Amino acid sequence: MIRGVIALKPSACTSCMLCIRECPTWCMSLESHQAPDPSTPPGARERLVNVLDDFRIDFGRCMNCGICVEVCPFDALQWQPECDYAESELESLTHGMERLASHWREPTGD
Amino acid sequence: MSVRQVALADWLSEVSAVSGEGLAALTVVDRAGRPELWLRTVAGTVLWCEVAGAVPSVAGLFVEAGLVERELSQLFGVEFDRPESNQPLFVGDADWLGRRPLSSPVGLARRNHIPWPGAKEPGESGSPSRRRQLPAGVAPGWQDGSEVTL
Repeated sequence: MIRGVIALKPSACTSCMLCIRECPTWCMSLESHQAPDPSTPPGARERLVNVLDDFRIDFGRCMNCGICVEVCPFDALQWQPECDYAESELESLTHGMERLASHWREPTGD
Repeated sequence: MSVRQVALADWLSEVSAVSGEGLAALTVVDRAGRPELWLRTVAGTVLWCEVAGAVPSVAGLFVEAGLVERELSQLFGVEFDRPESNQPLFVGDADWLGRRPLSSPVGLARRNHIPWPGAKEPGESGSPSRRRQLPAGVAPGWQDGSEVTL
């Protein structure tokens, strides 16, 4: 397993905040809100689910420890082999949700 | 491997006694603002002392100790009785290294100026309540060292 960039699968993320809280360098942050669950059967009590709005990882602070990947209960974060994300501006090292999702490739199970 | 605590006053004499074994490591362990100086010889003898005041320098016993003591003085804030050992080793402005970056009462300079991103509850949008601004187990005032109690 090569530790390159970290990818996010937004459909698997429930905004539980575990990765954000466990990150030792505080390089991750997310925005979310609560909304009614669209799959609530008609006539049932309304349920709320967390909806992920934005997810950011600052790879300028990330130390590649992998704690976020290990702690995610839904396997929404994975290592990807891409290591060539060098930038010429410091701000560009922060990857937003769209860029993190674009890194995603399904794990092969090894 | 023998690990032995020595008194600060005996530090120089104790290290002289094992100086023939060769210096393997000299470092500082900082437990909540109580720094300890640890020395390990190549043969495996480990000596340590609590740092309270100026520490006798062992640069006269080991050639390489002078550079190491300069590093410990800059990163941990340990003071040595030899003025050359108190000269900073690394070039860099205070903003990057911060003040004594490896001594535990001082928070990491790079992490000080951002609020803890985990303060929000799952699904909470907007700014978090002031009560929950720190991770569990972190004492309030950690950033300026005011919370350290010995």
